[in-house]
Amino acid sequence: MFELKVGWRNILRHRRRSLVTLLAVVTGVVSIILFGGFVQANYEGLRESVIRSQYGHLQVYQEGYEAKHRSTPEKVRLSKQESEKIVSIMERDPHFIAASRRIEFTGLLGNEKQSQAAVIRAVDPDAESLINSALTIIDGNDLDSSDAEGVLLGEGLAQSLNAKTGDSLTLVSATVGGAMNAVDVRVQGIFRSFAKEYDDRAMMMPLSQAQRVLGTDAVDMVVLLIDDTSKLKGVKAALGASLKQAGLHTEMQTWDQLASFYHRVVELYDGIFLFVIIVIAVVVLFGITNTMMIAVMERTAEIGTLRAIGTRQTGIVKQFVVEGLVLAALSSVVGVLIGVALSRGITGLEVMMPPPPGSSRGYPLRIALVPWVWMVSAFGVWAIAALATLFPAINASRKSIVDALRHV
Amino acid sequence: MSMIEARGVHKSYQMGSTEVHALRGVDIDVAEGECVFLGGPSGSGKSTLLHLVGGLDRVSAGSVKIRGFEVGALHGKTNDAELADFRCRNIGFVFQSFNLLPVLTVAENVEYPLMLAGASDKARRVTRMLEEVGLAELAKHFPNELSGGQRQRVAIARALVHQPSLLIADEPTANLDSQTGDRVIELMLALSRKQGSSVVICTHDPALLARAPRRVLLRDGCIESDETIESNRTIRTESHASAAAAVAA
Ligand SMILES: Nc1ncnc2c1ncn2[C@@H]1O[C@H](COP(=O)(O)OP(=O)(O)OP(=O)(O)O)[C@@H](O)[C@H]1O
Ligand SMILES: [Mg+2]
Repeated sequence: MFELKVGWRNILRHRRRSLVTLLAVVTGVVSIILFGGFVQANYEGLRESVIRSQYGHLQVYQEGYEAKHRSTPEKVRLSKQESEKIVSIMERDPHFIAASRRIEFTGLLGNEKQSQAAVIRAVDPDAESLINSALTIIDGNDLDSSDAEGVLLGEGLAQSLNAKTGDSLTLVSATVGGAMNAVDVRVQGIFRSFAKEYDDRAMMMPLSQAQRVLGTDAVDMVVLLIDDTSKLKGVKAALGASLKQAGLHTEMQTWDQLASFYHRVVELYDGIFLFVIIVIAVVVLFGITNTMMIAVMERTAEIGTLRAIGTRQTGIVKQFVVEGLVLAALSSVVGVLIGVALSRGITGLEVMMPPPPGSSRGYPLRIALVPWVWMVSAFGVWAIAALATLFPAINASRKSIVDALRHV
Repeated sequence: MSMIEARGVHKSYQMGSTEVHALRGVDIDVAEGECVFLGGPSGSGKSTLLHLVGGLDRVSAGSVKIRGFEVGALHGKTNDAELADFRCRNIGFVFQSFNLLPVLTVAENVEYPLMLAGASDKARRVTRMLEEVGLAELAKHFPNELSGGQRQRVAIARALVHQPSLLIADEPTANLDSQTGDRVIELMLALSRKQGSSVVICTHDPALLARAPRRVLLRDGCIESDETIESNRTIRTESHASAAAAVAA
């Protein structure tokens, strides 16, 4: 194609100017790829830590749990047989990693000097150590199924009770029958999750001991962890069908239905990302417009000549637009290549980032490889280049031929 | 039908608050195959007339027809694309500063009008034309590797390759030394005569004007004199071979 040849040669002919434009566009594309990848990596990181320190991938409850568990938790619990059946059905899934039965309740935790209300999560210790892999034990050890009295305290709760690993505490709670019951527990370890507010009030303990306190063998839920978050939809559908077939009346929630915090963070970052994209788009637009305006001006006499010889106005426009598009295509390819290389390089450096807002832990800087961001930035630059070239080109093509020829 | 038929041509430019009258009522006819030299002092309106006759600009009043096709009407029925297509099929231009496309090779420059016209057999016609102007060996070179005279010969090849019925040249020798200029003119006239094209050349060169078969002198936007010199007509009827020899010299 003739216009391509001429465009390419003009790009080479004005090497320095082309290079400056190319750099501007490449910088824009690389910025979008890096920032988009960073945001995506944060989503993934946050998602996995939400899943692996709190919610698991999926939780199965007795039907009506969501509506009634706050007022009458003891009426919407899964019986021992039901919960065991659910676990055994879950175990059949090829993506299964772990299932933990949980009871959640509140109690008063205290020693001789002070007491503190605690949100207590009682779990199957062995399964839970897999599910809670993103939970950091900052002192002591994880729960142990052979030690029913050992509990974990959240960092903030331990501080407010002045409790250290090895200390004994008394847990007071109401049984399902309404009587008060107390047991002794021993601080086995202190943990830190991604959410400080949770750590300020949370305690974890083995299920068996909690059931003794509450006087029940029922559980609130069965929490499932699978090997790949992207497979969750299919797993959920299959599980739902199997549970129904087994005659169990259950309801389910996935991690993302539970984690409103996650969605707020995603929304915030999406907004910032959009803003960054717009700023970069404007910069690229002006960069290319400027280049093309100079190119058009320099070649006024050439435009006059071409028009005199019989090139139509549309032919002139086409020539410059093709030229802009060639430059943009080159820039976006280079930009994507550099962006991808930098994404890999930066992730490889394993730089630690400071804790994000609402979190108590730093995390390794990671730039995710997100093909749709590459596509959007590459094609976006293309569209912008077309736009940026169109107006100077149309302007040039409409100039009087005689004036253009006079321009030397 | 005459090649060019210009009647009562006026052209004025607005320069700030004053109006510059570049042409004030010019009538001229040019026959098929005729060769006209346009002379006159600077600012007399030579270029302006050439632009109108070449369909590059519109008249302020009057009419310019090429083979009966109205090219200069003020708000003519012809739109830009039609006029462009007309130029591309019927007119060849040679400019004072050669105006070759710097990114195209000699051959590609010459090929350009053929491409616009959608002609077939382009490569052969380009080669033939480059041979005619004696630049076949430079086909793959770029304009900046050529001398002024060579560049103007490329421009002549480009102007004539599509066999236009009218060739327009605005001071084609002004940027060349007189010897080279002479050869370029010889070549241009010989080739256009061979193709049967009409030619309108404007020049400042008195020697050239003296040898013109028809000489039109402009002054202050009007035709001062218009004479056909029969003796020059025969002088110009040289064989193409001698023109080629002039090129080779
Ligand atoms: N675009 C324009 N705007 C204003 N005035 C113009 C324009 N083009 C030409 N003129 C004026 O029109 C008159 C004729 O100009 P033109 O270029 O036709 O002269 P010319 O005979 O070709 O002169 P030269 O021999 O110097 O090339 C001059 O007075 C010039 O200043
Ligand atoms: Mg002039």
